[in-house]
Amino acid sequence: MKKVIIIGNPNTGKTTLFNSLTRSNAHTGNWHGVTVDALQKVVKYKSQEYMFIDIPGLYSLNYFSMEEKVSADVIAQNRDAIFLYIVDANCLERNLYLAMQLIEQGVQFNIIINNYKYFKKQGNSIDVQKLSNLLQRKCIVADARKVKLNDDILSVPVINTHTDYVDNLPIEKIETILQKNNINNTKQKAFNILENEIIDEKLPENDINLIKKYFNNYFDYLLKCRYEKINNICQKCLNYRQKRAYGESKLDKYLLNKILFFIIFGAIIFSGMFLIFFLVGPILTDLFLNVINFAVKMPIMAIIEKVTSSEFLINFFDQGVFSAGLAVLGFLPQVCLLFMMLAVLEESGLLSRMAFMLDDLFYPLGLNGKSAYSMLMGFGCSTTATLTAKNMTEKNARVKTAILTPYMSCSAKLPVYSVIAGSIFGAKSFWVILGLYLLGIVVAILLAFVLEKTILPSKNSDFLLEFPPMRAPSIGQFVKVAYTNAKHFFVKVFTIIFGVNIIVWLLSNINFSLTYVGESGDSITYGICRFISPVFAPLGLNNAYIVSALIIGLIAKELILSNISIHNKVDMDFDQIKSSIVAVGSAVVFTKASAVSFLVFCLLYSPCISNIAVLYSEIGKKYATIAVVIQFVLAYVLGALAYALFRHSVGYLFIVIVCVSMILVSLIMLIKRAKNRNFGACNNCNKCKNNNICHK
Amino acid sequence: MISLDKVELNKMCIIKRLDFSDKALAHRLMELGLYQGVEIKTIKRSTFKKTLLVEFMHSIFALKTQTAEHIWVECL
Repeated sequence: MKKVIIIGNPNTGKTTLFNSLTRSNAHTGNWHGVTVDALQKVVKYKSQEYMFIDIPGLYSLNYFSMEEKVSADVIAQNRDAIFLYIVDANCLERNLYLAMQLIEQGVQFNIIINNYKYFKKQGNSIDVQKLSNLLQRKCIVADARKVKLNDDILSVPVINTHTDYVDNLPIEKIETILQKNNINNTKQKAFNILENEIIDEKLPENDINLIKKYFNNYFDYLLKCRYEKINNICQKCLNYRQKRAYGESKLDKYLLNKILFFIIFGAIIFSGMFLIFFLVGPILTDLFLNVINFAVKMPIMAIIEKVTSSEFLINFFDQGVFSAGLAVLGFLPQVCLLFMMLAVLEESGLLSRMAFMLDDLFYPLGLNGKSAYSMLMGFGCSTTATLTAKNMTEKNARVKTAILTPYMSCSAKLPVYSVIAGSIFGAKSFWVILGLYLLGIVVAILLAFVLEKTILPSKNSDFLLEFPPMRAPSIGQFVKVAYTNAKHFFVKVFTIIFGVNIIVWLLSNINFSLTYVGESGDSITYGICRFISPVFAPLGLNNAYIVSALIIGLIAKELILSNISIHNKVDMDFDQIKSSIVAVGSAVVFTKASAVSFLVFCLLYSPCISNIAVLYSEIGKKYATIAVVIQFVLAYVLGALAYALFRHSVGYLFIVIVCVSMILVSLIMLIKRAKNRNFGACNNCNKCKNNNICHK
Repeated sequence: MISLDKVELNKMCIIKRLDFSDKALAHRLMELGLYQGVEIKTIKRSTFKKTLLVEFMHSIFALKTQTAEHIWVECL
């Protein structure tokens, strides 16, 4: 199968092109570093199968971040693939630097010139034919959003370009040494070694010394030659009349104002939340639920009741399959609205402005403006947001961002907040939900501060961010975002949530002898969870069913709600669920204090198992374990504190505060000890964290 | 010659040299187009002046003020 790899600088439209060519709906955004891992899709064209690969953007083959390394590796390992090199017409000069590197190494590719319409609108133009001749690569002007798969794009003419300025470089000599040591992709590696004067490969000392003899500041030489060539090409085929820089916007006058920025962003976030949780969201949810009830549940249940009279089967379908699963599905409109709000921020270019304005505030926490993107995306899905930390270059800032992102309340927690807060606090529930979102942010800030002072002190964090232009998101993009997230939500509901609900219902309705006992004290769930539930007594959650919901919530947070509806044997009507959790005699019942502690616990403990897995893969075992332990400790401690506060019990509150202080002090001391013992830093100096070699 | 962080806003300058101890960062900036002879303009400083918005090669980039301290320019 032939591979087609889409490459280019960040935010040039690679994923948009990938989506158009493969008819996919991969996540795009007007921000540099949206794609953090290679995406793949097999497409059949003229009876030939092609595997399209979209890789994260990179400015140069001398990678500077983890995501750039992913891309550089894909390019190195697939030299025989069809490469589509996408450039933004508005930044052609800078975009050609990577093209030069590829040409030097003999990589064959077609150049897709994107955003040409906007470029032309500014009064500029490109002589495409001349550009193609000078670069000796086929250049195609195409709108990445509309381009269709065709022969012109897929046929890459093989042209052996001679780059005279690399003739004098000892590339072949280094390649020979690398080949002798059975190292692959020698050409790219030889260039990397010569330009950076760093040998990453494991080589015998003799060979290392041999290579080092060739070091002669080739980076400066190559940079000069490449840009000379680029300038020469641009002078010949670029007619540049634009006065305003690409990325500059008239709105920046207001958006980058120190006071107006916070007012505008505050208003956007607040109105978005108000719309989702109070104004439009609940109405759409009720409407959607009624439609499902009448169109799906009632007809199917009528058939089942006709076919069988078994109480077990009727209850199984009614509660285990429909009520629990569809209760979660009812939140589809609110989840779509939330993602659409995030899409506005992402597509409009506001995120880069936000990253710039917040960079100062993040600085004392050892983070930078790029963390703002990961954290904001965390309000959608914690797992994918954690992955976006990859585009940060400084290791400690990256690890810290990944640890803090799950504290941003993800969309999966939204149904839990809406139902529990709605039933206990009624009209005031909006403020409780807003408070929870803010609590997550405050906890993240405090934790960032503690991490900065203990195990993850930042070095001079380099913040380098390209400003994209402001643009209004189109209706098509909104539809796409809504469709993609609705699809994702549907798949999740009909796979994980339905599957787990069935298991939970069975465990809650059969005993250890596998006999149907209904929801009673003899069920397997009750039998297991009653031993664990006393641990949650300080949170006011000493209830086996609540504990079971929290444990199951680790698989997916939406399951908490369906679990409650299973245990309380209620229909998929939200009013029924809401009234059941305050009704005396229900299996799951909350007071005001226990509801708050439950919500706080839900906010702070691990979002889901997939998020834990991503943490382990992205930041390593040690930091991921610390992150997960901190999540549970904070959830437990702050949950207990919230319970004490809402019970108005002064004596109890005093005991909790003393215990909390002791736990926090012990935690900080433990972290400090871990810093000295496990993370390579000694007591002599503070510079040995990375290489375990003391500088003193 | 002054460092970029001290340049007045909206003043066009020419990059004279970069003096970074962090070679990787220096290389990255140069690859992005911040090399000797390139015209650069400071556009905006962030709230607490820790970050700077600059324009070069028709693009806008945000960079740390402490990074700008190592970029030496001559104003036109």
